[in-house]
Amino acid sequence: MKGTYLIKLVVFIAITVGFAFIFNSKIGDIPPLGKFLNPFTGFWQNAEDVKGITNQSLIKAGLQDSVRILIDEQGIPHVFAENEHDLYFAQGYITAKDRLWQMDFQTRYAAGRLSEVVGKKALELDRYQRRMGMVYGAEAMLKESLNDPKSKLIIEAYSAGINAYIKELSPRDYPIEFKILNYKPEKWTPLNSALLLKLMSATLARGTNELAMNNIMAKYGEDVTNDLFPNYPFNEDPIIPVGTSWDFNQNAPKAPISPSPLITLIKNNGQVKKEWPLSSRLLTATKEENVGSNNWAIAGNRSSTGFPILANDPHLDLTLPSIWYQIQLHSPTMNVYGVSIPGAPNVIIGFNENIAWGVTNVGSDVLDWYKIQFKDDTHQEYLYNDKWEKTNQRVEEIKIRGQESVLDTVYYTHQGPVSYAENQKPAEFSMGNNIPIDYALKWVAHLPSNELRTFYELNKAKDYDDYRKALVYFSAPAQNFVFADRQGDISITSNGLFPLKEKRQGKLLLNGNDATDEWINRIPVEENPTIKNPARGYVSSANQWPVDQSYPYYLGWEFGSYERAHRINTQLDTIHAANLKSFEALQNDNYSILAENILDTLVHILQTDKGLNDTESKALTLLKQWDRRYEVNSVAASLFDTWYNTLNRSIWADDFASDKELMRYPSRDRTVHLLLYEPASPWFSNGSTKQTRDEVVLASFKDAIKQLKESYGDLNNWEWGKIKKTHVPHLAAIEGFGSKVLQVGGSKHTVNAMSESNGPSWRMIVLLGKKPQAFGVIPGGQSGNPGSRFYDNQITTWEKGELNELLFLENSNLKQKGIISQIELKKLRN
Amino acid sequence: MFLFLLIIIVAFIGQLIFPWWIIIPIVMVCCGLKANSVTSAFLSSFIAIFILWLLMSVFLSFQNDHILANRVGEMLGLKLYSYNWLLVALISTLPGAITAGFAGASGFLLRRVFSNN
Repeated sequence: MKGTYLIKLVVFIAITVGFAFIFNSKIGDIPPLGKFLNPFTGFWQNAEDVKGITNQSLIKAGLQDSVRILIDEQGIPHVFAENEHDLYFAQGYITAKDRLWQMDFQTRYAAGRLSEVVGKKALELDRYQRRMGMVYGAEAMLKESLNDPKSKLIIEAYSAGINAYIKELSPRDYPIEFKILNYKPEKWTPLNSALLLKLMSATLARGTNELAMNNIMAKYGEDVTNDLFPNYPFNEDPIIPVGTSWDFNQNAPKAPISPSPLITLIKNNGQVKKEWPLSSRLLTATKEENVGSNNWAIAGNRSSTGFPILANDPHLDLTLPSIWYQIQLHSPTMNVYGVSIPGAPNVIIGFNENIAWGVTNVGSDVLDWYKIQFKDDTHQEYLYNDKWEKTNQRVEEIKIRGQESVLDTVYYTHQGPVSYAENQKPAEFSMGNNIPIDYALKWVAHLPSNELRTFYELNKAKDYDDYRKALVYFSAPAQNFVFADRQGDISITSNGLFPLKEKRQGKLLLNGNDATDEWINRIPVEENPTIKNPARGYVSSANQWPVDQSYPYYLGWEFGSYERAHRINTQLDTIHAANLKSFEALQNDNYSILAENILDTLVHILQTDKGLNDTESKALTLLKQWDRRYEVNSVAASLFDTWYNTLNRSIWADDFASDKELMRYPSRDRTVHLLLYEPASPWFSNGSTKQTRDEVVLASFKDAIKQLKESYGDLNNWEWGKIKKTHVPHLAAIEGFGSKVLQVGGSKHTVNAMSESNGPSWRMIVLLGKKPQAFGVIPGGQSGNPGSRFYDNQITTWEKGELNELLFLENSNLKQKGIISQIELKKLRN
Repeated sequence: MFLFLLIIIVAFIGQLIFPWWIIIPIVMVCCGLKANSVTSAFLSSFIAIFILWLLMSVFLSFQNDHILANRVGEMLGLKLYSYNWLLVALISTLPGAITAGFAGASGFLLRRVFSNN
């Protein structure tokens, strides 16, 4: 009898232990089910009480005084501290409380440390980030920041605040993504904050086209390259109005590069060399044509309030948790409100009692590739000025979950990291496609910098002079800083560290052996493009060229296309008493300058064809009646968009896309010019098949209609919103944690630049005055917790194109309108 | 019934402090002391943890307006959308209930093997 019980016992215990083990382990992508699903410590603990309003009072070691954080109806914190140290400590604390997982994950992404969490599938991504020198750049930045007592205080206090929050946590409190991926928050370091600022540079200023341009130059030669990839666009509406004179100091440094009569075009294999005269020295910048943002400010004499009004909407790849974290920071030295990067101190875009500011990206050429000739396969020495120099080696240890670490050696020349030396580049890794082999990367984001100080100074700036002083500290990613103050000044500055280059230097790949190809100096910071109180009564930017061709320095050869900027400027030209409504309408403007430029011509060509079928004729009628607005319910917008994209492909794909080598298409600006003014161009022909412009236009129209029919059925289903399918995905693409499909109009090239999931990550309008009145919205919410009512509570307001009034408090009284709770942080008494 | 209630109470308290697997020693001891058969040990443990986890999840989900449970349902590939939360709550009980069932039976068997009757 006992024997059978014993056998049963062993079997049952084995089964119990087996289940316990399985349910406590992460298997593949499946979280440990017992740990994850149990309601005591699992994900159910992240289901926040929707009516929960709790005041907290906590004692925190490291504080110098008490801090009070008021939470408003949107879940936005308003921090009141007695000194700056405590202010940043509390900013770190409260940001971590809302966004800890996002901060952790983005830091790992930037630093090439995702494999530690998700395993081997992230290995190539991790290698890429490290080989592009992300950590190297962050370290340089941190070192520089720690040399500045002010930045040191800020970044260290901020880290301490984050760690004070992490210390509070037990496993049940971990953000849900930690539970899904089954790992723990780790201690925060100031380097993490630097990494997040580098991530902004990676997002906005790491694009690179040199390899593609080099291949095009090698294939088609100088004349074609110059013709199709011109160094200034046909259509432009620069940030600094055309005709502005440059009042520069004559002693300013000149480009340091000696005018060598010939430069070297380097072929990919490093063997074949070809000489080009200097004038053809086309050189870098790549930019996604459509990455962008808008900002503008109008002078008091043109606004309904008599004071300046400022607007900004930075466009980014939208994610949940939201990219930005709204916060008010109040101390005896400042009172500022705006959005911050979760994981980095200060307010990045915002306003205080006196000023408001905002940013858009400057697509200047701040990244170059230098061909490196190594002495041998050991990569210990490289040729520079025809002498052998030693490389530095940085051994990257990439830890991989559940496996042994990978050690990856990156060779650094004095220019920067050789991202991929021969045999180091993975075959199947798309992010690496535009990286040339055996080239050193020179990138402004690797240089020591102290951007933190810019934001600190802006946060407490009182007037135009303070604004100008703050900008001096800023290197990368270069931004158009728009500014307005309550004294009535408005200004915009394309600001950052711009290398002083010879014209078009770095449009192609450069020669690492040749010292004359180096960046040696920078454009003097006070001579960065800037304007104050222009005659036209407003300033604006939308990633277009900062200047016309009279600017004495070289900034790059290609910037964002001019359409959004031009629309903004023509609207601002006609607005008389600008107010909140007119600015809100402009931020949501879906009018297409591209359609304005080419639609009539295209439609005219179509009308010459008598053989259109039923759907095609209907489509043509819709296009003729179209108001050129990418509204959410417009079928014509879908027609035009699909047609233009198809047309663009049919013109260029046969000549500028290849499986064998990387190439790129000419810009939209160039394509539009070709369509309008060069109907006989040979580029319309397809290989040996001769084709005219009109034939290509017609064929692409029919093709577009066919595509739409195949994908969406009947013409009535082709509404723009249904085709574009705007949505905001989760940062780690976890199903169910993103937004639903949103009903939003706009396109990449309209002012409301909303594509599938890239668009306005923050919309802000500030009416300056005796007391500023400000409005803003993010496509998401304050909380990073998908189980919080504040995770995506602003998204409907954002979808409708509306803004919330921002609560700008003057005192820390709990009993005031709009405040729902408070967190008191008290210092530890000795 | 007594055993069932005993497990619920002790498991509730135990899980406020310890990880989820604390239910294994808890049901083993409870069943070792009070169960009459393998079947009753298994069922009491299974149902007790099933009920305890279900009530707890449902309670948390209601005060959350089911925001999170519906999202997790989508993550798990469920298609009930606004009723995902209920299915998620039911699924959530399984790892605990199954493990508890076998642990409870083990506890009863342990007593059988080591007792003198």
